[in-house]
Amino acid sequence: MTDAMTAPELEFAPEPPPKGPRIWMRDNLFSTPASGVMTVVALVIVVLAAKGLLDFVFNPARRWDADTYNMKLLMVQAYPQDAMWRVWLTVGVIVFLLAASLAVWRIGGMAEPRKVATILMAFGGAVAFSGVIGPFSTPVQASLVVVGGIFIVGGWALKRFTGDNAKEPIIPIMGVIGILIVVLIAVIWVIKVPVPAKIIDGEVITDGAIAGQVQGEQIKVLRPIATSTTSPWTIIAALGLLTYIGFRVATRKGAHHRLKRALTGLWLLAFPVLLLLVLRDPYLDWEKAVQVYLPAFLFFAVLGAVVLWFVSKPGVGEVARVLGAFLLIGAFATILFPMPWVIRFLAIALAVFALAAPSFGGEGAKGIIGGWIITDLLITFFVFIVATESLVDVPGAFFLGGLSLTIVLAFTAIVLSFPLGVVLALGRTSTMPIFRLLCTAYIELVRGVPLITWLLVAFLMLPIALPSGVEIGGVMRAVGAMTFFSAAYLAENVRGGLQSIPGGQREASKALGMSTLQMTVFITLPQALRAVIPALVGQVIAIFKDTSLVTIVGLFDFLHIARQVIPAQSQPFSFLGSIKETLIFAAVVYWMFTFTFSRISLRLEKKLGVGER
Amino acid sequence: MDNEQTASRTLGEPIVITDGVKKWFGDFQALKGVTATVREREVVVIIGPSGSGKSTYIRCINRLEAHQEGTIIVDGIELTNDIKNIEKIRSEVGMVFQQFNLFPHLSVLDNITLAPQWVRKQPKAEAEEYGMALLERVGIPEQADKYPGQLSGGQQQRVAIARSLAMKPRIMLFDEPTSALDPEMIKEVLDVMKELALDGMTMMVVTHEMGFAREVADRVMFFDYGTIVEEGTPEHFFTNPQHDRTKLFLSQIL
Repeated sequence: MTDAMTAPELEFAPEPPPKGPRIWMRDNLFSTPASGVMTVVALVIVVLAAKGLLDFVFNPARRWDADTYNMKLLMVQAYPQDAMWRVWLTVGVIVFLLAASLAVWRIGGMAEPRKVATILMAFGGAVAFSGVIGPFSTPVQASLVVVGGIFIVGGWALKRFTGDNAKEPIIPIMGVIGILIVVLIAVIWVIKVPVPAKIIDGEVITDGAIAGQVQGEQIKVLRPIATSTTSPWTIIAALGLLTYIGFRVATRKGAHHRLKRALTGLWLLAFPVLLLLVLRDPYLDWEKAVQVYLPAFLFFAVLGAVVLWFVSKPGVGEVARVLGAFLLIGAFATILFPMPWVIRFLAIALAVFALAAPSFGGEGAKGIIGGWIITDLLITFFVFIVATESLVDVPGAFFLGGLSLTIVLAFTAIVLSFPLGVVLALGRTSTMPIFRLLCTAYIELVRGVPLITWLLVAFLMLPIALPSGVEIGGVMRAVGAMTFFSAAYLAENVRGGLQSIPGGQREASKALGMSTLQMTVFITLPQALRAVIPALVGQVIAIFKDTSLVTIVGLFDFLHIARQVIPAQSQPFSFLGSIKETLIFAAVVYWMFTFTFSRISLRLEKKLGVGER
Repeated sequence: MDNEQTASRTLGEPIVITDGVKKWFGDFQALKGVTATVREREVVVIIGPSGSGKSTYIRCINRLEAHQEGTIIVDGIELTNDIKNIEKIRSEVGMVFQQFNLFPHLSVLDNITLAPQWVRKQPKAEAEEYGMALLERVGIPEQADKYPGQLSGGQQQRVAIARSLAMKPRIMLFDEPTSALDPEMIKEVLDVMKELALDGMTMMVVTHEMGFAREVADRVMFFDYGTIVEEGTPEHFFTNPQHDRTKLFLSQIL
């Protein structure tokens, strides 16, 4: 008799016979007459569209030189040439942090040679195909077909070479990306791009300074990219690759929590430091630092330490909350009296810490006092470098323009509106009637009016509404308007997430004795945010594109330059009527950013186990 | 319980006193004056048809529901709207739910150590050490780094029990702890609860598991239409019920 306790032997389903491409096409594309017709129609559409696109892009009448000549304008607008090293330094720092983070957090993974081969062959096919149908001269057509053929053969060889291992994930994705970066850098050193030129006295002049006001016939010529662009990019690319390799090697053995925390801290600091210190080049008034900022820092450091130590003691109870409330009222009262902004900010920050300490202070309150000292230092430092003028000589409201301004506006608005949106969502679902009423009124009011209107309100009406002596610059007003606007939408997204959490989670938290604040921070908010990541990322993408509206209030953002500044240029080179080319370039750049956001959102969802746990 | 086991567990002073507790949900009266006393180290099993108010009753004890009339006194503290009293009572009373209610975004060990760390301000290492000891006590120390979604129902409920125990409560409330489990897993959870009882925990258990009631309970209460119809020792209850409604209910269950 068989032993009933042993499980029956495991059998694997027989592997289906491999399908060749012809069989795959027959089954998927031509399975029925109707689908066969649809396939043919779709192919015709694809070919016509591709041909139309290629004809458009490579038409000799195209003014792509409008984009190449004005690249600096599009990126940083009128940032002075002798200060451009600051911009390159910023880019370098960001690349360094990015490479280090990718290495330390082991982002990337492996790909199957089969998939990589398919991508290579598809790419090669597309290149060859474009070569055949595009409006190119015969030598160019031939070279495109050859290049395409090389990729196809390369892909096929990869598949054959790896043989049985073709299905195993063995190709490191970061390795492939590294190779791509090297190839890209090599390409920009040799590739020629269209640039504008003038024929003056029979000579072809491409230098704008010389061509200047002189009359001459304007043409386009192909020239290699200037070394002022290729050199910094090469250095930065090399830096990035070396950093990545270096950090990979350094973190060979296991996760390094200290390093990860250090990198996270650096990322959080990077944006304000790079923007406010490096790019803005503020005038550092050291006298004022010693007179005002240093005493403020020390005073609040000591005061904060004492208050937080007292408030974090285990048995302190109601007194802590009362003290916190008093500090908050005192902080808001500082707005009524004339005093340096740094003191107002420090007072509010201390009140927030004091209110949070009972719920989060650990034993001995060491952690929260340490956190306070750091916050004190950061607030003092940043107010110090902001409350002074910028030394960067740029005409106009802000020292940045173009794509850099778009990024700064979007990033600041997103980072600031997230906490505000979360607070609003919690307020709207809270049990305290006044808080709930205020938050609901805010959300409904702000959402009901278009962003353009809020920008105009901020720009035109805010100076009237503020108490005298309080001045807020143009860019800050735009950022403020976008922040408040975005926060209202985020609040509703987060509220949706909060409502989707089963009530049992709250019951279990209450039964364990957690306070409402602890329950919100540890249980409901993490789950709520995880559930609405698609909506949150959608809001991020929307805000990024909404930055284009600030042209209404006189800021030179990326789209404004592409749409109105470049097509109006006539000196030294005329780009009148080049709006098609500039708009397409702007659209492609916007798409690159937003596509990256949505890919990051997918990765984030996967990492947090959305839908799995 | 048999004499050998009772001998090691002498019942203490009354620790949960409910007197004339009434609770309405709008117009519907869920509790119509419940008076009962639970002593320390006593195991009380509450049975009854659905809608009889059993779950409402024990949820009133740790203020997940608020009673409108009557008094509830837990370990000498009266349960009123005063938040301080509520928090003190909640720190002494642990609860295990029918739907487990584990925190899905935290690992098993984090589920267990979260409250001790932030509510009792225990240092992380100490909380984790005790947490691992509790996991061993409920029989699943190897699952510490897994997420609740990766565990079976019986394992999840055992983690929920360990999570409540981590706060070192004096009283444990169980709201139909095995009703959502597959039959094979019910036994493993009931075994853990039996161990807890033998170790001297004061327990109030709402359940349909009559076997557990017969074996482990010191007293059985029969709820119907918001009141206690009958209560007594398991021997009395299952062999010689007095009221007709009790007899009717038992005939349907057993």
